[in-house]
Amino acid sequence: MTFDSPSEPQRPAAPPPVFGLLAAAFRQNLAGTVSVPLPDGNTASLIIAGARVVQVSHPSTSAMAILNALQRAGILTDRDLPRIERAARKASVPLDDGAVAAGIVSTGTLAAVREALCREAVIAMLLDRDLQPTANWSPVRGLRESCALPLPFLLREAQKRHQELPNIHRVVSGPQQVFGRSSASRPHDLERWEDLKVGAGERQVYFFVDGRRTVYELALATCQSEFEVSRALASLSDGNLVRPLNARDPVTVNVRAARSALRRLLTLLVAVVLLVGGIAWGSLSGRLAPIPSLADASTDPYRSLLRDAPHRRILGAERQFQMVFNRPPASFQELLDERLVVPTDARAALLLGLDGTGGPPRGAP
Amino acid sequence: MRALITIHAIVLAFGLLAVDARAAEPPAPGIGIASYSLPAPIAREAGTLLSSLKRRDLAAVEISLHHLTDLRTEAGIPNLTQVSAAFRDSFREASRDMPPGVAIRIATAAVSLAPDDPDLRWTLAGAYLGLGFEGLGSASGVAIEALKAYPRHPRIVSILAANTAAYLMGSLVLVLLVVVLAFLVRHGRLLAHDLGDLFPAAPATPFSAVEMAQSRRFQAIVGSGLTRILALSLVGLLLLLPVVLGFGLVPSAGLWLLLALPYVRRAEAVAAAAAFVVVIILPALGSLVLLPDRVAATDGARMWSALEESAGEDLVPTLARRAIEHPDEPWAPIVQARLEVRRAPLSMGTLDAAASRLEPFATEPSGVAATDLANIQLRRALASCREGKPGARESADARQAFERALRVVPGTPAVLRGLALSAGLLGDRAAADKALESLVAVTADTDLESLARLRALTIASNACATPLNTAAELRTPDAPGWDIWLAGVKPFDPPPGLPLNAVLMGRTPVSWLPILGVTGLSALLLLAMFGSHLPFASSCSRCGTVSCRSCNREASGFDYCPTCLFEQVKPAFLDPLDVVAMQRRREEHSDWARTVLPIVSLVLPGVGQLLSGRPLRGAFLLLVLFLAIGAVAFPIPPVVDVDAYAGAIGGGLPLGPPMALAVVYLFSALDTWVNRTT
Repeated sequence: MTFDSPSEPQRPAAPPPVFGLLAAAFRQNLAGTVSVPLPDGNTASLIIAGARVVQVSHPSTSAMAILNALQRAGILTDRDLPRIERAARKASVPLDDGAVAAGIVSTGTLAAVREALCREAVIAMLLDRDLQPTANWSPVRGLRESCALPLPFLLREAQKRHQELPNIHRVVSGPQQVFGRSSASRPHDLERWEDLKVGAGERQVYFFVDGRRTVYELALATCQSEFEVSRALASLSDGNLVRPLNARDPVTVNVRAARSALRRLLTLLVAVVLLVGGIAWGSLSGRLAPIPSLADASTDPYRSLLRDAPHRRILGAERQFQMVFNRPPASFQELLDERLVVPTDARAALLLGLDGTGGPPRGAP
Repeated sequence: MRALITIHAIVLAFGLLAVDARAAEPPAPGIGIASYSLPAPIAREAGTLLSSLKRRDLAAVEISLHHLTDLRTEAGIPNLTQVSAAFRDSFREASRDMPPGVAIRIATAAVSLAPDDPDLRWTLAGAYLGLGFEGLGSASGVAIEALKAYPRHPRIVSILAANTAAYLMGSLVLVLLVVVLAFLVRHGRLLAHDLGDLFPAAPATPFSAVEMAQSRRFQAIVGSGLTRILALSLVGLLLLLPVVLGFGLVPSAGLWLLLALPYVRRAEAVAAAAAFVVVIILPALGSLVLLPDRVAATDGARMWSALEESAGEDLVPTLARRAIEHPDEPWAPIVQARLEVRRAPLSMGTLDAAASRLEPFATEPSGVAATDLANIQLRRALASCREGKPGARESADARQAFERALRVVPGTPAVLRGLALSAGLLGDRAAADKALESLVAVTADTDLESLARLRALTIASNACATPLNTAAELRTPDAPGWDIWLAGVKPFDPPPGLPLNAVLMGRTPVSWLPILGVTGLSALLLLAMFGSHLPFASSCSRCGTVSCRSCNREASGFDYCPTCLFEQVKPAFLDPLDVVAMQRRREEHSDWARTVLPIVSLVLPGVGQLLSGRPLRGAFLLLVLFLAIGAVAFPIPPVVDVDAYAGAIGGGLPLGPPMALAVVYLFSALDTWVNRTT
């Protein structure tokens, strides 16, 4: 397996030492421990078994580093740390597993974070030419696996990143670089999400690119590595979807979105208070009266209709009675017996002079 | 949403105007009862008929019916509606003890009491139904005749319409209010979102784990809750504003519907259009309810009663006044002439006086005056009979008069009958036969017996032998009943208010409702045409998140639901608890809907359907429900026809309303069960 730089294809260079060692381990199916002295004086170690890196011991994969990563990602807060410590002590587990024991994150989330950190640490060592690893090719027994990174994947990814680095560096100068969407300079040119012809990772990065987030912040927001974010940005830049912003470039995001929730709350409060105050003032000063005076009800023609209906029934009933019996009804009961009226018409009958005693009717209402 | 500002500015402007609109409330009309009296012989015979019916003396009933019909014809009274109503009331109970054949025979004879009374024909149709399936065809035929009779009897139609409108108006107002409130409940979040857009924006959707963590902080939770409460309070206050300003519930409901229009779905748009149509027709329904009372005491109603039913002498001064006040109107002179002729059918002096009243209107387009004039001329000819021969000049005058009437109203059976008789009096056999042939041709159901009688009377000696019988064969054409009945009355003038006007209309004049309704329909049309281009808030069909185009673009740069977009790009490390929490929040809403809506549907059928997005079904169920409740609460219709009173209750409580209630509840329960998963 060769490790050629694409920028200098005519002069093949030797692969970095860790890369060479792991490539050999993969080719010969070796298992054992690789120790890597780090420039800061620490020593990292990789345990390899079955063509996979199954444990990584590196400052960036320590329990504290994992918790820091979770904190940076916003999954943990400072107040959670004492709880995690207590839970870890109680369960006699490493500090990072304490987050699971405390019920703050799931095992799956912790495993995903841990594996991502291990992957990035291993790939960083694979690409570093200054490291001098030593290997002890004897299988480790009774090991607790913390990750499962296939060697072919790691080697291919390292090689790929090595080849892509020059192109990426042409676009992404560093973790503080800020990118903006090209469409932001064309406010009338409506972008459609469905029309984006990019991969899932790039789509994710593009979503968070807003002209304010740095590469570092984009990596935090997307929970991808800085390299992955840089690669996505380079690809998006090639597709003319994003462009690096200089300090002088205006930030074209809508300023309304940046206004504080407090300002919104206060203006809403003022509006509500003004309305309530206005209504209260109007009501107390008598300027507002939702329901007009009830005096109008006495002239309500519909009420008159209901009020006069019994009178009309009595009149009609009397006429019919007169027609049938050739005499006026002696009492309201007679009309009732003939089913010409209903019991509730009694009051109207009384008003018309037709009572229960048999007195003749005396006139209309 | 800038439209909100405009709408509320209009609301406020309307409110200020409404405050000064007190003058638009005219006083309510008082009770008005017109009455007509029957000639004494008819009243006596009617008593005989009704008492016979009570005694179940069916033979006497039949004889009385025929006698009454003869008396009616002789007196020139088109309809004995008062007798027919009393007959119906008694017959309804008596017919239960009668064999169906006898009931049909009696009911058929009774139709002649008041040929224009549709209720008598319904009674006959009911009698036919007593035969079972065998009578179904005949019953249908009679029912069609009953429907055709309605336009000929304005009073019965107006009272029927008034009672129907009274029940319908109450139900429609309630349905309108419930539908609009349901729309506000369904789309209140969207309205609040658009209203909130008028205020400084704040990031609402947390993207990235950091933002999510920040959104979980105490201050953020309190702030977001307060903002939501304030935004909803603001919406509530703005919705309350029209009511507080004195608009009343119905105009306020119309304005609320206007505000909800941008958010309604297609089916809801149809329901909203129907609601605006209801707002438009409410004044018309109110007018219909009050129409019989408004018309009852007018000259028009009294003249119509005199023409189509009967008239007493007390009408004479009214007619005289009317003739002076409206010299170009023929109806008062026509009624006066008829009263005079009825008083002295063959008195030459009276007939001359009656003819002189009608002469100026001989060319009146309905032909009533011309035919009446010709009839009077024929009576003059009959009055001039000496030794079995009529006066030649009078007979010639009569014939001329009928020929003139025929020019005014060609092919009218009443004129052709008179023409045949007048030709017979002159001894012109051929002309009489020709007129009779024409009469047969234009009469749909020719009664051969009456034709034979008429033919016999075209012989001058026969006519002179029984002048009163000959005169009884004269007929009058149908007068334009509605024109006379509504003389001087505009039936659809806006009423002074709606029932419970203070609550429903506040200070808003009823005449403004059509304006509001038309405005709403226009807005609906505009939204249907351009709504998709307007930046109103919408609810994501997938996750239910409320957002608008500008908010979407501010959040992500794309016009796409921010929550759904975030679902697609969410980081792999995202705390699953957050995902679960988001999921749970979404499901909480649907769980609430699945639990509460069926209960609401069962308690008040239609409301659950409205809230779950089936507005037409919901509105229909509510309408039937309220109609049924109205019919149960007020089983006796409020508008009573004193002149044709048919009793207060007929055969116990009606079955329809309780059955309708049961059907509505059953249907709502079934509908809830069938749609339980949606």
